[in-house]
Amino acid sequence: MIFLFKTSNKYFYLLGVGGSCFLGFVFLYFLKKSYNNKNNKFIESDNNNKNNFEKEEKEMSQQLIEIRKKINDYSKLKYPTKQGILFKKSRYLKEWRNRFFVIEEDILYYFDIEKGNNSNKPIGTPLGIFNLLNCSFTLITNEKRSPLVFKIQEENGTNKDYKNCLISCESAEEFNQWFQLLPQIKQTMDRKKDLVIKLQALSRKKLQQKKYQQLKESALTIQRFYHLYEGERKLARFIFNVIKVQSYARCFIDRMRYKKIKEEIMVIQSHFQVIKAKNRLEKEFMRRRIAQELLSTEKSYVYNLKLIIDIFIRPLINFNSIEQRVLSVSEISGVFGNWERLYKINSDLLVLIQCKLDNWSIDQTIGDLFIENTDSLFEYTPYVTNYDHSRKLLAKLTSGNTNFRNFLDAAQRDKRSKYLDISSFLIQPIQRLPRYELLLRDLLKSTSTLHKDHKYLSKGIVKIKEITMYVNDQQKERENLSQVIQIQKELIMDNIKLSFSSATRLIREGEIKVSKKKTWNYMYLFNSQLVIIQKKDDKKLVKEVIQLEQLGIRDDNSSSSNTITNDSGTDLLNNSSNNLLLLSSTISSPDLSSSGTNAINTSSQALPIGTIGNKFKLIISSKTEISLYFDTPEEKNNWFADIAITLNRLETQKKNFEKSINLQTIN
Amino acid sequence: MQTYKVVVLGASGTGKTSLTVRFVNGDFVETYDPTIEDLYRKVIETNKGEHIMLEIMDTSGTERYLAMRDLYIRNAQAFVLVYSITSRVSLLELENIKNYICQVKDRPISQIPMVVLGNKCDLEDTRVVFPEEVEALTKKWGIEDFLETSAKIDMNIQSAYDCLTLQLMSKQSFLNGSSNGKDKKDKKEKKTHKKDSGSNNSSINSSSSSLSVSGGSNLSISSSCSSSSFSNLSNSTSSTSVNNLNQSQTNAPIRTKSKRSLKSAKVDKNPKGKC
Repeated sequence: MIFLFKTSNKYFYLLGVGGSCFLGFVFLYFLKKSYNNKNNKFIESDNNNKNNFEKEEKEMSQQLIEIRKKINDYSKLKYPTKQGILFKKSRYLKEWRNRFFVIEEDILYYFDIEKGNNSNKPIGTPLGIFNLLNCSFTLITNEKRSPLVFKIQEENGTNKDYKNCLISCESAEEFNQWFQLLPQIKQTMDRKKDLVIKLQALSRKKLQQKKYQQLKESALTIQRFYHLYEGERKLARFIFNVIKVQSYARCFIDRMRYKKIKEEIMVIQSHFQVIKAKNRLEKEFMRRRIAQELLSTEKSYVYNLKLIIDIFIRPLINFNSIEQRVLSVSEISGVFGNWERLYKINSDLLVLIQCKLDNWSIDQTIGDLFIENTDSLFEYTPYVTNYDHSRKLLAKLTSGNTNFRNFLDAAQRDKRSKYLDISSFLIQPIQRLPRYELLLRDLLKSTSTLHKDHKYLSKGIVKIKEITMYVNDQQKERENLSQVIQIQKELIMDNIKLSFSSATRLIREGEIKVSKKKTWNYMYLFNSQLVIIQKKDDKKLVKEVIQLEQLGIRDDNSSSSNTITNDSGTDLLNNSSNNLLLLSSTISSPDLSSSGTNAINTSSQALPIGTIGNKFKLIISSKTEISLYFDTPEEKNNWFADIAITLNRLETQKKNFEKSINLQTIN
Repeated sequence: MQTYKVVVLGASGTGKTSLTVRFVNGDFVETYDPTIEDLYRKVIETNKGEHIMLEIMDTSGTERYLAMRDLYIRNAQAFVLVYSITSRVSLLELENIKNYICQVKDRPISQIPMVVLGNKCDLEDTRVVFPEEVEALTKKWGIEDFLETSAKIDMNIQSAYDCLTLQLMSKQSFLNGSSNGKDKKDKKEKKTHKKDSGSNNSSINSSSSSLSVSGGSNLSISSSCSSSSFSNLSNSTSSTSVNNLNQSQTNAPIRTKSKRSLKSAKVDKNPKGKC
């Protein structure tokens, strides 16, 4: 733009200078022509000009037509590069005429000059238009007016000769100016094009620069974003790496821990297996040892049984004559019971145990032996029940029979008996039965639950327990029976009937007083009745028999009077306190008076014997009361407790019996 | 040589067999209790220089069979009552056993040679029974000797049997008159003596004759004896009971002296053991 501005300034300057000179020359020319033939020449030139204009007008290109429509007047040419009056040779008349020439940008215009006045102004539409870019300029020397003539000719037209014109000037300077200017205009236009191209390129460059800047900015933003993203990405990568490393470390640590734990588990398992194997071996060792123990104890037991037969029983039986006989057959059986039978039983058992232990192995069983072959042990019952009788008989024979005592001394000196007393041998069958249970229990403890023998041993223990308990119970019943029989023999019944059943058991016996002043009497407490006797002249007279179904007891010395009766149904087991004073009065029983004893007087004074806490009352059928006095408060409490317990037991038995009756009726 | 039968009684699992085996054989079986011998014999020397034979019967396994245990008790002359200091139930069981012994022997406990032993005293951390309590209980029962023993570390076992031997020596007169009838006579004679001292002679004669009849259940006395002989017998039994009471009174200082001598004997024995 600056270049164009500078160039336009030059052209404006040159145009101003040329214009002033040009005006001077034009004035001189007009004066010469008007001096010759003014009118004729001027009219002819007008006509020629019109015809030429029309032809040219037709042949002009579309572009020139359009330009011509736009530019109707000289006033519309606002920025001419150069303008002035030049001489143009006409086409057909070949006359040189004055025309006003104007150059604007790349187009050359020429106009008709106004006639009348001397103003030299162009008028009307342009007579001719040349596109200077398509024209060539040549210098012509053939004309008369040479050397001041040059030719303008369009190059692109179909008719080359048609559109051309010859232009001349008055002065050489003006001629030179125009002749030099016209090619320069082309050059200028070319330059302009180049500049335009350059500008376009420049603008394109600018645009590119803008785009580039935008791209750069966007790139920068992208880069910044990229940097941020890079930072975040780095952070994320860092975090990821940290997490990864942590996970690796954790995996490593877990693996190490797992290895350690696994090693510990392996160690523990190995220890456990060692301990397990050791326990198994120890158990098996212990099991075998206890089995050996069972065998050896059975051997020694059977040996002792046979020893008694060899030393005592057989010599006593085998005496030949009556004089040498020490004991009778009944006495021998009384002392030794069924000893030979026990020897048979246990020698058979010993054979079985020996057979088991000769074939001993880990899988050997021994409990089945005790399940199948111990029914014969029930025959220990007569021996055990006879033992007390045997002991007494032995003591009697030892003290009474001199021959037997000598025989025992000789037998005791025998080496085989190890200086043991005969009573030490006689106690051994009683010791042996509970011992089986101990041995089998130890054997069961040493046998694992998976072993085949464990089940057998459990059953064997149960069976041995049953046998021993049966023997124990038989012994207990035997004792009770002998006790009751003995009491029955001693008692003398005059008026009162006293009957004992096989189930009668003695619970307690002791001395009592029925009243304070009377002598001591004796009382038996059985499981179904209470018997009060009086001892007179080597005899025991039954004075009172009280059935326990009708009996109640009351202790007046306790803080609250505790009455235990079957009728009221109360069950109180309460030992009385010994701090309360004795109640004063007692009531005598008409039954006692009817038995022939002296009448009991009512006494209001307390005697020192049997005062505090040593009496309680018997209530018979809720009517009659008997006061019983005892030696000591402890004895009274014991009697009270035993009677109360017996009454409770009877009541429970009655209830159970009623329940069973109800069940039978329901069924 | 005198032979005395001793029975070791106690609840199940108190260490009766271990105690007996330690006393007789001198060893302790840790993991296994041998039951080879049911009867253990031991000759011991008393402070008087005499030798006596103790036959010790082990009652392992008979704890729940009371009637069969009864047969042991009748056959025996001295008793060792064992409880475990780690089990209170075993101590409570001793009272039942003590009452049962008195019932079977039909005699007050002061006339029966008896010691109470608290076994397993090496298990101090599991102790639930303390000696002060048992001391008071045995005094209440009337048993003179109470010791805490351990079969494992052989503690106080010899002392226990020494005390039992002393009791056997001191109560020997009762052992000689071991029949129940005489004991019953003594008991009833005491009662009549205390309560009917102001009565006349005829009541004495009648009561003594009735007592002799009751005592005759154990002895085979013919009915042809006269009443005068019965009265003579009763007089002699009463005099013997008085003598027995005097002897029991005089035995107490002897027992204390013998205990002291035993302690001094132990002190003397210690340097010998060291040498």
